[in-house]
Amino acid sequence: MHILLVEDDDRVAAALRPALHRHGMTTTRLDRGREAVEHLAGVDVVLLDLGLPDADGVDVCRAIREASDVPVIVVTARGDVEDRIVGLHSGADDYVVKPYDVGELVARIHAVQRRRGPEVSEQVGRVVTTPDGVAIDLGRHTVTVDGAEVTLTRKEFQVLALLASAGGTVCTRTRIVAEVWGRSWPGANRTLDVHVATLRTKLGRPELVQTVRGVGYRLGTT
Amino acid sequence: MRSRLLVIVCVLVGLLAIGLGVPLALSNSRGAQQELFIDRLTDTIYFASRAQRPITEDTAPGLADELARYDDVYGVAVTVVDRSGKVVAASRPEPPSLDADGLERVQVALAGRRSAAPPLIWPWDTRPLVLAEPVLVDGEVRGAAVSVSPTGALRAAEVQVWSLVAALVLLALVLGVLVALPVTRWILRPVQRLDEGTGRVTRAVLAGRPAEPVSDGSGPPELRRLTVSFDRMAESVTQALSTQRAFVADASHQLRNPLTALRLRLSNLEGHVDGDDAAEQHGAAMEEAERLSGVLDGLLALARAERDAGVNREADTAVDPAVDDRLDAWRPLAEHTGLRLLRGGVRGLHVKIAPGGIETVLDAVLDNAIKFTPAGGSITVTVRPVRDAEPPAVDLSVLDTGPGMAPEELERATDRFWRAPDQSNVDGSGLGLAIAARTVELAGGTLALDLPPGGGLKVTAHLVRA
Repeated sequence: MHILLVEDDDRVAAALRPALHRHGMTTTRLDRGREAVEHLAGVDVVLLDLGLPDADGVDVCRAIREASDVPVIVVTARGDVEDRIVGLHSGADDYVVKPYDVGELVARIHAVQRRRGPEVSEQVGRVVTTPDGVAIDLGRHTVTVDGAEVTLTRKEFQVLALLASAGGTVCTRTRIVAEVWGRSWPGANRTLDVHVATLRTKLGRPELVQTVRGVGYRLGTT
Repeated sequence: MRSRLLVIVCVLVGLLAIGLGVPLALSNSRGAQQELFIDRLTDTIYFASRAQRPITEDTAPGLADELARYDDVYGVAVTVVDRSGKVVAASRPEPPSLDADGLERVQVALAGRRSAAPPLIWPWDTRPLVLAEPVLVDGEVRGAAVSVSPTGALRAAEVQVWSLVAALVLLALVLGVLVALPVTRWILRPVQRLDEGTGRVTRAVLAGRPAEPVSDGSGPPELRRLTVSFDRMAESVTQALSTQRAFVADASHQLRNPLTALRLRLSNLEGHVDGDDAAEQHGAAMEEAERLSGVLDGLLALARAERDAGVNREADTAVDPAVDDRLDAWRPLAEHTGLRLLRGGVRGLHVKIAPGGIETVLDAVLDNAIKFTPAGGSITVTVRPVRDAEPPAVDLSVLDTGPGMAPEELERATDRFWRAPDQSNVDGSGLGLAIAARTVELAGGTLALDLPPGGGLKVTAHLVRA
């Protein structure tokens, strides 16, 4: 997969490129927004920083959208809701707030590509099964352990389903909180920990949801 | 101040007008009286000399006729008496009776002395002017000529003069006020503009807009200088404040790039870290990066809350949905730590606050309450209308059963980055209450911390009722 990285900060770019390469992606990096439109050939996903020195990132995003329908993920240093809305209105497919985590970024890159790609994966009816006998039915919102159904609250199930659909890659706390609760608040991380602790107890599989220290959680499928 | 200046001007003009007008009127009256006195004195002296012969000869042919003619023409009664006071000749058959003062004047004349000028006659003094002159024959007093002149005409003229003076004084006062009004307006205009300006500057400073200058080059030079200095001060205050805000926003913004690079570098290390100890250090480093980004989020939220000041985003917000939403969000955590989260007070109230404001306040306050309240305790969120508050208000309070805090710490608890001395290792940015306090203040309310008698800590957001 080829990523066009539009990022003015050299150090961020230098740190990000090896991380993306490790996930099997190739990258082209631009430090100016104006040139972005001319480099779209062969690009699968554009990572566009909104805080560019030469042009407003939102304008660049619109220009890219006019020139091509390549998926665009907007990277912003502002966490403002208004900024995100502006970013999405300008044609971006998704947004990530700095400082982001590689795992989260890669997951989003795959997600926007899937959405744009020809084969749209259907979550409905999909069942994730783990080797130790836990079956998570993403469509029917049920979980069984060794065939016996376990009752989970809505939030607990959403956390588990998110981890399950990530297929073993790390989900950052920020992403889980944003997708399950819709917003972040000062106690969000601790609330997530509480839900994970409950999940481990209810499922009777302490090793199923694994903590990745400083990052988030992942499903121990192996 | 305008009315005071006007009073001062009126008093000054009034004093000046009275000081000039009264002596003028007095001297006018005196002059008129002097004229009348001398005129009558001349006539009386004439009659006195004319009466010499009739008195010595005890016959008065012609004298009485002459007196009557004179009386007819001038309306002045003249009587000639001899030394015993017996009437020798009179202008009227019934000579006017004299009062004590008049009789005394006759006695003075009979004693051989001439008439002195009478005291000033006031308009309300109805007594006639009585003059008596001795009739001297060979240097010996043989009788007296007495003239009794009415003073009506004189007094009428006097009244006219006094009214004229009073009218002039009034006119001067009116003119004084007419002149003083624009002058006071001119003097006070810079003061008025300063007064209005102060309010505008406060709003502008809060909103981070440049303050509109108050000086317009009018008014007295001293006040002009004052307004110019005021403008300079307002400008520097606004600038200092916006610089500080911009700094907070920019710093939290600019730190994101290095922090992103740091996190990426750290995660690039993943899989290359050998040994449990190194893995432990790596994880801790990731956590620190996470913590730093939490602080940056807090700073940005604070900068945003301050930037929104004066934008007037307050709207009528229902309290209940926000409170219920936040209680639901915090309940799993509270219950996990063994705390009961309770809701008290009244439902169905609305307050004026920016959208999301109640949530921000509750998040900050509940976060602290849950962190510091020991297991088994309870946290009660109460919404209550405040009676007899102007404007009508709603108190949103959170009461916990925790350790509270030292009374001297209550004031400082809403400062940025403040942490209780013994809690410095508890997770958190130290910005929560500062953000909450700013949010409430921007909505025109206040955030107060107090220690209720039953123990614990009570945080109350005093909000304007919608």
